[in-house]
Amino acid sequence: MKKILSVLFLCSLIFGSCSKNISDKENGKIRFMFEPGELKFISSSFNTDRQTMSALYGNKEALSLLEGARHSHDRVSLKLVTYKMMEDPQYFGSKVNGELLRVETVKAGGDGKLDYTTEYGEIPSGESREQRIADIMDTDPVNFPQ
Amino acid sequence: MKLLKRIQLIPTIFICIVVGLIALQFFNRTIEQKAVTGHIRNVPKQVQLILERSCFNCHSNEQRLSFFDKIAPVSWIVNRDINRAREVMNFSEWDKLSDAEQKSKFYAIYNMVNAGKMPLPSYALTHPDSKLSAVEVATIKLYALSLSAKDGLLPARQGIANVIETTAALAPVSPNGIPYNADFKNWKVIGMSTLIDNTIRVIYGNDIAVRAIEEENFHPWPDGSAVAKAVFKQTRKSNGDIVPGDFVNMQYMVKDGKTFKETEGWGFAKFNGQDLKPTGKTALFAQQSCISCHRQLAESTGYLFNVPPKVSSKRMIQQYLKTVQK
Repeated sequence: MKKILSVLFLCSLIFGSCSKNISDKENGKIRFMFEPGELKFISSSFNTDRQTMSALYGNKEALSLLEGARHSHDRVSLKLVTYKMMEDPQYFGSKVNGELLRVETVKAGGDGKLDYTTEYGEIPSGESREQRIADIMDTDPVNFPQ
Repeated sequence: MKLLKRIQLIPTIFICIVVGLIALQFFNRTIEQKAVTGHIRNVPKQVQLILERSCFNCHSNEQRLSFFDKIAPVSWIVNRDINRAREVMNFSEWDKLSDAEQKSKFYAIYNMVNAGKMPLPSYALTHPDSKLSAVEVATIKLYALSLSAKDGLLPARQGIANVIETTAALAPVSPNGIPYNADFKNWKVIGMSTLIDNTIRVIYGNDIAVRAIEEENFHPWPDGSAVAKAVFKQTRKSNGDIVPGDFVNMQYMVKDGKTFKETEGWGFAKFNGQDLKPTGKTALFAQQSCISCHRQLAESTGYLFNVPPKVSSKRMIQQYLKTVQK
């Protein structure tokens, strides 16, 4: 009897773990946390019409430019990371950032202007690069108590 | 013969129990009477009746306790529950809450009753009238949803212009010893959320917490894990984007299995407003409020509300990471 129970227990462990692996493999989905490197979080936003949530990251030059403390674009580097907005699976009434949609970058170009590229995903339909730069540069950094 | 002796003992045991109960009544204390400062207003009658029947006996200053509830030792448990309940939510002091807090409380009410955490199962067992039917839970949900439809948003930048920056010589400290830690700004953003009550939130994780998420190693979370949640009011921009406005509070969860045994190994702290005033009067505040909601998440996320969901394509993300690393 003990042997039978041991075999059944072993089988359940083996098949249980296999089914989880297969499920994860088939699903092909992962938890994603954006790695900003040297950049720091500047602000976030969400848009209920587009059902998106975004986080803006930048270097200290970008931060002081957005705070209005400087006017030169030199060395400015920004990344806007946009996700689908989704219902929070843990809390009714809350929405959270879901699947990654795009990563847009704005950097100081050689000619003193700002360059725009998409690292991941595509530029929102119907919008020009200039519009995207203007939108990203129209961000107020979040204010924390000092 | 032995049986006869045992039967003769029954009256003695009964008398001992009665005497014991009478003695306990000398140590009985009645629940502290508090004034009603302001009731909940503009609530549909059916919601009001649900709250009065199911919640008011603990979450108000207007208890209608039965004789049984007033006898020690039951009264000790009842008094403890009422004190905790009043601290979390008090329908007799509803006027002390801002509009946003009132809306937020209704989402909390729905989530607690929907999860079967409220009314407390032990209370519902002895007070069957307090139990909620599926229809009543749905009524609360509908009312919570109707509140979000009435949300008004501040015009863009108005809130930011009014921010008063405070300089604190020393970091404020929560009653349980957790200090306000400004280093969260150097942690990784692990998520964002919005609760439809005029708040927008950013959640940061320290290196230990981030690694635990990456490695799916959060059952349990390793000691030293810490997450910080910054809560702001919402501000609407002209392009329809909703962005952080005035700072509301900073919330922390710090994992230390030895120090915070009573709250599943998690220490909680909340610092409110520009002066970062800590929540709670004693170190026990998290036992009386925070952990009851977080316990719902024990199995799914190890007590945290904001673990990033598994929704991004592994293949696409790996491709992206290869591109940026070149």
